[in-house]
Amino acid sequence: MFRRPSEPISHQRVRDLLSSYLDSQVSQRERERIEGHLASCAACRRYQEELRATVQAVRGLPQVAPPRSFTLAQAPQRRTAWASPGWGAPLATATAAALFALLMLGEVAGLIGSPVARPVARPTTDVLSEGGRVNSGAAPQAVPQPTPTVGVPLGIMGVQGGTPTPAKQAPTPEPTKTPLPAPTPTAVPPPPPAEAAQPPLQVPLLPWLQGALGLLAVTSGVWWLWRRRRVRG
Amino acid sequence: MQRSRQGDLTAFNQLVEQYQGPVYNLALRMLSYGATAEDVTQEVFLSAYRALGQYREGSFKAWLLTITANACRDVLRKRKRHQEQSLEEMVETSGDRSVSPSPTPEEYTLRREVQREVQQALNQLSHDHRIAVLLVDLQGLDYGEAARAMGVSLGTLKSRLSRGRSQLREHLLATRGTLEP
Repeated sequence: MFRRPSEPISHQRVRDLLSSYLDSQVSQRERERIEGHLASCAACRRYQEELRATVQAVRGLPQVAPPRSFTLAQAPQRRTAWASPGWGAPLATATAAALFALLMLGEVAGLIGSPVARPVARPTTDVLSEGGRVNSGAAPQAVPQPTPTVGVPLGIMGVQGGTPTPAKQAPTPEPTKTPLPAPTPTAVPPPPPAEAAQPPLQVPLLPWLQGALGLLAVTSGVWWLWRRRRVRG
Repeated sequence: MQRSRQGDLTAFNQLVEQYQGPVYNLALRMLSYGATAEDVTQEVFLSAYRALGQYREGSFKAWLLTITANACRDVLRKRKRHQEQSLEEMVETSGDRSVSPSPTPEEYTLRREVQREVQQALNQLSHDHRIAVLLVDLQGLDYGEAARAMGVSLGTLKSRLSRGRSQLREHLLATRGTLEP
């Protein structure tokens, strides 16, 4: 397989490569192509000379003497191994990420959450599911549950943690003894259940904790990368 | 170097004396303002002393210039361009230390004029292009060192250098009308 020693090359490509060519930073093949082009192109030869003169002009700038000495009068505090960008932030990132993952896993596995809201959440899910069928036209069936509960199942992020939200329960039929008429999709939400049936109001700490840990992990990771970039050669 | 890494301030100050010229000049050419360049230079050596344990191998000068380039970028991001005349004052008071000895007054004036135009052309470049040109053409780093100092690939360094030089050529042609080798 033979290759022509000097393949055609555009003016623009030659000019893009001339900077590296002047510093002998092009491949042998590129050199051959550039020199082949320059041999027959007066405009690019002129460009080459002007570029060479430009580089010489920059290299001819004087070195300005520093106006004072920058020696250190006393040793500044050096970063300890733990405080340096090499360890501190990665450790914080890893710790926060591990705690975050642990909380998520614990919640998915049902290990974390309200001991009151958790047991009542499962039947409510069933009720909601059946309520969906009711909305499609089927007659609602009373759920054989002695006390209606309104606990909302904990989502993957633990939203609300058992706090009742009437709007979400619009299609949920009240487990009354008589069948309800088919509710319209835009029906007014049913009256809130009796206060006695509500679980105690709980502050949703878990999602806040998860959010804070996730934010800490991301922030410390970004900070660590930034510090590394600034001081590393 | 070994003593400096162990915390020997006297040994480190010898390195400061050796490299403060390149660090200060890169800061000065990047920032065009003597007082800011001084602040950056001092900060560079403070940072270098603190981070000396992270310096592994290769050119110590290139490592220092990496810190300098990052510090200059931070300063440039925070401020507007308005202080370009100050570099001329610095050159005026410190004297021309370029190679050619004892130029005639006419030669000296002409050279100063060219240098002023080159600095003005440099100030027209983007920060990335200016750093590439200064690291390679003013500080004499090789392409690999300059690429590492800028945190870019060799190809990106070549591209930025090519564009920076090309734009410098255009600026100088626009102001001088001709470029003689």
